[in-house]
Amino acid sequence: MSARAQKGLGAFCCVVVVFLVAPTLVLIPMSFSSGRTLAFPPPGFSLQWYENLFGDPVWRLAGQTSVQVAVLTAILATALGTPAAFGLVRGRFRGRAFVNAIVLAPMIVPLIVVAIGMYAVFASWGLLGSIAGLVIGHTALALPFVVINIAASLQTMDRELEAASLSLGASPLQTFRYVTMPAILPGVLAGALFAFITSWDEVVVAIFLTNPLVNTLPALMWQQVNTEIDPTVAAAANVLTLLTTVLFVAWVVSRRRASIRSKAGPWN
Amino acid sequence: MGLSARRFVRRDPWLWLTLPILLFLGVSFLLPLYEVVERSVADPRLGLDNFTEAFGSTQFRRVLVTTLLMAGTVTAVCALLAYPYAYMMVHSSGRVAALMLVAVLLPFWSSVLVRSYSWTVILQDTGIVNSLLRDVGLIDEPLPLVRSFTGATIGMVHVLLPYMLLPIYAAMRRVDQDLVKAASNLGAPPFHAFRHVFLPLSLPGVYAGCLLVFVITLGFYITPALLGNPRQMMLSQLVAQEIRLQNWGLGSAMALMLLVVTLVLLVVAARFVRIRDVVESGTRA
Amino acid sequence: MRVAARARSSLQVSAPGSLVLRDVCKRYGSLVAAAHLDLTVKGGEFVTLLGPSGSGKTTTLQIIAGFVDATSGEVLIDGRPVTAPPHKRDIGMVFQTYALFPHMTAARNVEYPLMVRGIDKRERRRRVVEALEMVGLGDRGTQRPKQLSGGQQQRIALARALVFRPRIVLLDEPLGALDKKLREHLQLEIKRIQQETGITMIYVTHDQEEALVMSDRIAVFNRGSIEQVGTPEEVYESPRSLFVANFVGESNLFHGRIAEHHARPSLLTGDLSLTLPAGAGRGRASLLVRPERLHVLAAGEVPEGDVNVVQAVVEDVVYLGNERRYSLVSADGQKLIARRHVGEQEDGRAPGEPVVVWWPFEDGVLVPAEPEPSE
Repeated sequence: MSARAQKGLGAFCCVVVVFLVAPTLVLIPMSFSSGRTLAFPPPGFSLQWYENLFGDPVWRLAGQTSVQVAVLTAILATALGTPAAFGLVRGRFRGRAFVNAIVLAPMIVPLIVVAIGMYAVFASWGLLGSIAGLVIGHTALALPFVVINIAASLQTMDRELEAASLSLGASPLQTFRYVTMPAILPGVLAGALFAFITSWDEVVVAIFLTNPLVNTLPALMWQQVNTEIDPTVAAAANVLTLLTTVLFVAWVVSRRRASIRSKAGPWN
Repeated sequence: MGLSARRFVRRDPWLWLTLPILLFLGVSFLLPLYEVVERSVADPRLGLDNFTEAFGSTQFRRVLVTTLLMAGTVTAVCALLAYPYAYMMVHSSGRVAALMLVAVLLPFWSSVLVRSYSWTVILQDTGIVNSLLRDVGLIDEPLPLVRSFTGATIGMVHVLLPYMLLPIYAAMRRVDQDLVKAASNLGAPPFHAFRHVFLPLSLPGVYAGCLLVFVITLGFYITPALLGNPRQMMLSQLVAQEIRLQNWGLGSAMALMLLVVTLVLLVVAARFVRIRDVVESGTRA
Repeated sequence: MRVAARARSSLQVSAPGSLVLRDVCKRYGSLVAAAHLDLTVKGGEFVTLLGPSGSGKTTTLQIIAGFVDATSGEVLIDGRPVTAPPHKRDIGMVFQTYALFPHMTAARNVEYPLMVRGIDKRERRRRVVEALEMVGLGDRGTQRPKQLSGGQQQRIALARALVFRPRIVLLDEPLGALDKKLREHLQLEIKRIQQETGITMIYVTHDQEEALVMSDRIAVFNRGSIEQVGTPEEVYESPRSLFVANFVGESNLFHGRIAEHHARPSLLTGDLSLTLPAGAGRGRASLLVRPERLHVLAAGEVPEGDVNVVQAVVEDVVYLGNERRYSLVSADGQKLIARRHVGEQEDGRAPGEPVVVWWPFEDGVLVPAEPEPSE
């Protein structure tokens, strides 16, 4: 490639990067605007919208509900997904591909279709506007991620370790506890993290399954955005993103530290 | 090295471990889907009335056209942006390429809602874009970027660009660098070598990315609802509207059509890409 | 690497295990992995299962360990048939890939079998220290497998397999992943530990040199069957089949028919009539002469004594430091290999030179011909 073409291409890519990264970052300074709207440029600095966010009981409750639902989703999805991953990776039964397809289906089906279906079914069971309903709905959406992560860990694990453990006298249960579990723990944690984030950010299903009493942060944001131009939403959006970022960074750092620890030490 | 061979003789016990998830998904996911199917053909009467009603409605037909148009536009824009970006990645050092990849994956840190909302803030009449353009003197009146086809396109391109980029990047990496060198060694000028050697070999990735982005755009709800023109709805918005009006039969029918089209396209894509992969590796051999 | 006397005494087994395989077969559908295996291993013996890949030796090990069930036949340990699952068999195992638990330190790896047996903490610590010292890694207990070299990892794996005092230890090509010098060093190490502790060891390898160095007896496997069981000397000097003759060491093989109308039985092969060692049989057979038994003289010279003589031409000479390896072609077109120590009368033979190859009658070994394939 000629130098000029390379420079042009490089400039183009910089523009793309800005296009990708800037929008989310833009919200940060805008949310500190002292004006009544999010007009640009912001007239001054103020914490009013964050005060509103943490002060208003409606927002606070929505935040709490979001955390509760996300935590419960992570737990339920992990509990269901772990044995499923084992069954799919280690099993050799007929219909394995079929089970695999069902487990991955929530990733493929358009969300709006899932959402209205859940709305209909959960309504008849009285699960609308309940934490249980949200947890069930979000878990279904999060399960593919959990299973994929744990399955990946299982597949890269050295099977001979389990054989060694058995040969040394450990029962199959002891082997699972002392050898298999530690080996797949990164996958399990990654899956749980994905499940949490999926629920924390989820909005389409939440729109249909929430009511004014039991609301999630994204659902409340959606309602506010469509009815009035309240910059509190911007503050809420930042809080939403902040938690996800913190979790993600913590995850990356912990993986880095694990691999550095295992690589350290002299060789003979 | 397998564990006890006895397992192979009995019925596979691993099967039982998948029962909990099957039961759960059956109730929480498959049952809702079944509900949609059932209501589309049974509400208010058994039959295909809902489908004929949908196709008879001008609004539905318009929405269908808008949806397809939007999907096509978003796909095209994504492809045009992603291809050069991926090309640059492939021809950069490992470090730079890794950074470029991170930049693409970074937006995943914030949800679709947050990203689309950010775009409303940026594109609104008093937002950054319009204010800057006015200050510079290029325009007098603010451009209607939100609540427009353009705004929705921008928002969706932003969300879906990674889905286009990754398959293209993967396909480009599989192209043997030596082939382009061979072409130029044989006398082809750079653009010629690119057009007749590199481009065709990278196309499988482009097709895969396009199909993926197209399919996802069809079912999108949040972004077009926030950024799009309310009079130019997409299919998912229409479905939501009908459901809110309690027109379950009609809404379910439309939802079902969306689902079927999505699945059909994905099945086609799966077979398409696989065949192309075979052909691609064949040309390399 | 010295063996701590203390370690020696504590890890010595009181009653080393004996092992019997009786008519063991293993079939996977129509594929026969092991057929009619009969083998007796005495307590305290070091027996090697030797053979090429796919010959069934690893399958046999897996059957003994309990990871694979034999299709038919019995495995007896100390006279009793074993049917227990792998974790109840009390047999130590060392894997080719070491299989050390990556998330545990070396010491905890070695401690593992003691922990799952519920042995109390103090006793566990003591035995771990002993085991680590026995393999010469007493100061490496706190390190993780990733921080250790391949040879060190293998020694930890060995310590782990020995620490719970099994009566039998199985080793599945444990040295395959190591470089030559390290391998040779560890071969002697393992052998020495085996002799000190008196444990029965069953060792799998495809490296015939390794088998010759380490074993009390060798079982040579070929395509699922054991073709011969014997001491290294028996297997090398008196192979009972062409496969064994070829697989263990280099060989010069003359194929032909045994003729009896001479004073001594001879093998008729091509234009040659080779006198056989005493006690030969009849019919089709092969005569094996090991390369180190062949002598090479300049053309025209006549060797003395009861010897077979073959005219040949030198193709290639390879200098190996302590010996020379001659590639020769006989007048019949047969390829021969001779190995002579440097400094003997054969020095000076060059490629292209016609020579006289000879060996004493008794240095040849008659190998029964393969039975005609009956299909």
